[in-house]
Amino acid sequence: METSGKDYPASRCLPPGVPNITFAPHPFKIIQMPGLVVILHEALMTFRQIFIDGRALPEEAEPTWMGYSVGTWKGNQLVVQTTGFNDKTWLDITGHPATEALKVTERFSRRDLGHLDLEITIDDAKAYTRPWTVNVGATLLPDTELIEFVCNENEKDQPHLVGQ
Amino acid sequence: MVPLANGIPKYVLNLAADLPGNQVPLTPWAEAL
Repeated sequence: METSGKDYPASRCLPPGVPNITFAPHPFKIIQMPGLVVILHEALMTFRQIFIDGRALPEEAEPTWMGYSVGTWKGNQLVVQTTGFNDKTWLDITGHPATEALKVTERFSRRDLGHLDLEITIDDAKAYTRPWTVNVGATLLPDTELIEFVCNENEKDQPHLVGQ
Repeated sequence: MVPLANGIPKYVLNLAADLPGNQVPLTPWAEAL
């Protein structure tokens, strides 16, 4: 494959960023408590903190792989805005870029007990001429737990990847 | 929770997989990458 993601950050065990981490074929666990939602991703053992205590997004957040997230409830929908990204993540293996200007808006809705609907809007004026939106979903995995994912233990794939 | 897609996680491969023509509105800067 000419585009097998040699330079895709996660192929080097680096955090995939938001929203890419959401689509990893590994489970994630959402933990809700007063003022805070935490998402634990099995993929690369990554976590997200979503502050729902009323704070605003920082005007100048320290650039990070996973960004800085705040959320508000709109009825039964949790609206999460994330900024403060470094410019090292990709939106996908294809290589759709993300820059430090990226702002991601995620709208989480629990359609029913077993299904989560997620609308994701990408707003990055440096990389895209206008915001664009995708709709995805997730299913509940009951009676299970996250397990360790140690990416760089005995990692042998990366040297064989080609392309970008 | 786990993403709905079975098999290859298509949005990991291409976030624009379900958009018309798989196209996103790239800026000239992004097109040049």
